[in-house]
Amino acid sequence: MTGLLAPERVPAIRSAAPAPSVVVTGAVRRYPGGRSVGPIDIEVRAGEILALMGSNGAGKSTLLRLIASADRPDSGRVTWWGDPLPRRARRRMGYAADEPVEETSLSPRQSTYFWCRQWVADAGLARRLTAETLADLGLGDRADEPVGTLSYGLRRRLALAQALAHRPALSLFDEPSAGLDPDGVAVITAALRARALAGQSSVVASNDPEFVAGVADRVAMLHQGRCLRVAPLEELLAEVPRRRIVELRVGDEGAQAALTVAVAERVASLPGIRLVSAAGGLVIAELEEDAALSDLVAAADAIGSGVRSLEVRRPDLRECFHALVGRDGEAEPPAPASGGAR
Amino acid sequence: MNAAVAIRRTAGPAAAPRQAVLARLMPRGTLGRELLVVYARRRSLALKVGIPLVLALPLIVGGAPTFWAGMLLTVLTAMVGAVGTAVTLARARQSGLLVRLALVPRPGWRVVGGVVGAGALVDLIQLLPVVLLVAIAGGATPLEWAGLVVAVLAGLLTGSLLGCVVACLAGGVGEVLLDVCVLLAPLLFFGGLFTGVPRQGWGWTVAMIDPFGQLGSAFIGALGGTPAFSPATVLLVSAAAIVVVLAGVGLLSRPLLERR
Repeated sequence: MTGLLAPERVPAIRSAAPAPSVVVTGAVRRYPGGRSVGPIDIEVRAGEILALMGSNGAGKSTLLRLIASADRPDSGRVTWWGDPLPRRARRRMGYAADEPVEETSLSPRQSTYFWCRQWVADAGLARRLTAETLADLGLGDRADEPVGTLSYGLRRRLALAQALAHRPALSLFDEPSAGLDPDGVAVITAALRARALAGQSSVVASNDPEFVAGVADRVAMLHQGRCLRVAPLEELLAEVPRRRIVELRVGDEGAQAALTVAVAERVASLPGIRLVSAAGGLVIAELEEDAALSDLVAAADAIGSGVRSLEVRRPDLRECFHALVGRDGEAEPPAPASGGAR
Repeated sequence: MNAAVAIRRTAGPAAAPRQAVLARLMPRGTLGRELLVVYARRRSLALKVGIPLVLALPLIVGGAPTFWAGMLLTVLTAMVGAVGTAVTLARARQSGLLVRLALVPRPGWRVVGGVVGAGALVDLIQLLPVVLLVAIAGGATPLEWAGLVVAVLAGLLTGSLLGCVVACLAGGVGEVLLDVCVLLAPLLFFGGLFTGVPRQGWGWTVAMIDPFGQLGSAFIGALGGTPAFSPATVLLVSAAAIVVVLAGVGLLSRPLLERR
């Protein structure tokens, strides 16, 4: 662990003033067919990791592309370090899309070096940064094999390496933890935290609550193209009622549907327990602090449901999100407000 | 290639010789990257060289009328340049590569120029055996031969420029061939490929400045026929066309990179 994970060695490009890295003001992006994202107001502070969360189609990737200057807003504006010119901002950014993009016949070293060289003029420095980044992301021993021989997870790591090798002041990642094994998630989390310590900002669009909880300083909740809430992670988690979430898996494949309904009805009738959802053999319920877990399990067992697994967890960002938009996303998007959620 | 690809030694694990050589090549820009990809797929390049030869061989060895042989070889060159570039760029857009290239802090003309330049270079390699065969079979003079090579390059680059236009307009890879044909047809027609170059008037002027008109004339001349333009004219006009086309690629580069 030498490069990405050693902030003191990272040649960070720091702003003289602690100005936000990015400010998005009333940005709207319209698509053919009438769908639109925005207006969105949001800012990315220097040295922070901002996570964009939301269901599919909520506008996470669109917002990320606006920040990356890959798209232009139809109205509103985006500024980078106080500068509205994307051309200048691109010198200090790195972007990894949700799908790894690489020619399969090149090696990870070649492709990472190519992307690094687009920013780094010095060939020797680019070689060193490439080697360090690949090593830090666990690709060191596969660096000279063709990309086509790598697994999907390793190609995801490669995409991250390509976006990070030149040590950008602002890095943008679309679903960075998708396809990564737990070790890979830990590596990218450590890399992003090290960047933050060095004063470099990151924005991650992710639907992975565990990853976001482990990495983000602030979380922006998006829904139907609007930003509902931006707040520090701790603040969001503190607002969730102190309940326990129980996930019960019942029945075999043949008899799942009927059993799920039966168990759901039984669970819903118990005191201190609220049924959240029941479908496909999975029953999710919320327990008040004083409700007895044993009652729930006994109720499920009593109808011969064959409880296959039981998971008890504390509420996390999923519940925060559901509290904002409703479990089925039925909440109407809020009216645009000036100043928005920052 | 030397300017674009730096050669270095890597301390990787022992690999097959071909892979070991490949692993030492480190691409600096899009030109080097594209050439490296072609190098990695040498079998595909060999096939690419073979296909035009298979098409051209019966024409040349069979002694086809020079006008028709010249027309077919010109259309082949134009299609190779235009379709190759358009498909490459349309695929790059679909895969998301163009988005990433649009975000690098380099002038658009350098980024797109590298892709187009590498494509044209590979296309030229692909067509060189045909050009050589034509020149030998037709007993071309050195000036005719030089004019033909420059005219082929101008034709390929003009095709590449059209490919860039198509990549800007096309909705996907599937549309590319149709769009290329729609754009190429008038250029081939006004170049006098199908009806011959008019002896005077605006038709002659248009054919004279049309790179495909010059290319058709160069093929006819090199095959031993009666060309519409002298070898010196072919050489000069084709060289000028290369400059104009490169400027056109530069102008199109940003719209191409930033179109979504």
